[in-house]
Amino acid sequence: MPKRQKYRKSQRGKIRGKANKGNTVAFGEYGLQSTQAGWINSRQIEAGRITSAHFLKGSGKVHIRIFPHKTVTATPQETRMGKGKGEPEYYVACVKPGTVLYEIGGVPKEVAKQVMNRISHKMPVRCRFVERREE
Amino acid sequence: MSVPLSIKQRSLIGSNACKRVRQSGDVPGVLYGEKKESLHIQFSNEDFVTYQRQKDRILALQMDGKEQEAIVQKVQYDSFGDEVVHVDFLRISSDKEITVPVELDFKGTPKGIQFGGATNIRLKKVNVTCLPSDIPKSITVDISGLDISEQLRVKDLGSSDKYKVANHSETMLVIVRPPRKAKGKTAAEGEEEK
Repeated sequence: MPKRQKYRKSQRGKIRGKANKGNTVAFGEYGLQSTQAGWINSRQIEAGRITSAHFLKGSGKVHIRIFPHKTVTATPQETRMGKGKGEPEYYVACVKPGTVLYEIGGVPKEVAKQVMNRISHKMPVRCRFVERREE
Repeated sequence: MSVPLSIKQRSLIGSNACKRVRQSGDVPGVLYGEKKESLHIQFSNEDFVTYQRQKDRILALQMDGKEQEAIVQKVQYDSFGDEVVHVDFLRISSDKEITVPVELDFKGTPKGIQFGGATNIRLKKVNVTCLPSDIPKSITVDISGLDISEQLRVKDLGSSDKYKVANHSETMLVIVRPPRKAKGKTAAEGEEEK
């Protein structure tokens, strides 16, 4: 979750279009790219990180390219209608199609594929494995 | 050696015109440099993909029976990085030096790996200044002698008569990181305990 926020609550908004930034593998050798738009919450991002740490056992380096900036509020159960907007419940990262979610470096391609496959199971959006593009 | 690519001049410019060019199976592009007027062009996507698969850097752009040597300055891709959207070509002349990025080819396994170190490659390409005919396909770097915490910098690349490395001499290329202290392990173990 963010350390500091200007506003505690935010509106939901819409995710329009494709990713025009954050859509290339920048730090590692291989990456996991989202092919759908959606919200990825902080727990899902952390679950991805943990699964990669378990699998890699200290080898390689994983970069997380998304951050949950957006607050999601919810009203408690069995609450009557009204009384204003609910309290912040969790945080999400808004992801557009094409966004690179995770990157990995320092491991062979086969290992990177296995790691990204494990991470993709924790993600609420469809993902694909991508390699760094040589220009 | 140069790779031939036939190009056509396009009169319509702008995003809508480029969209129509792409729909027809071509790629829009622009050719500039050598203090001549820039030229809006289009060319076959298939031909360009074939060029990208080859290791040769210099293109021989053919238009109306004339040939112009050029290099690719910038390639723009779509959001998913699959399709080429636009290409910038830079005119070159055989007698003028140019600066181009050249891939580094790291050979060998560092000594420090045996003691738990990890190779951290910081720079995969260096800028090389040379004549177009002398552009190396890659520069081979031997990293087998690197021990833990040892590093290789641009100045260690050695010199060549044909080209000059344009990067700062102190820029780090590769370092063998010492083994990480149980930080990753504790995180993993902590999760298991939960």
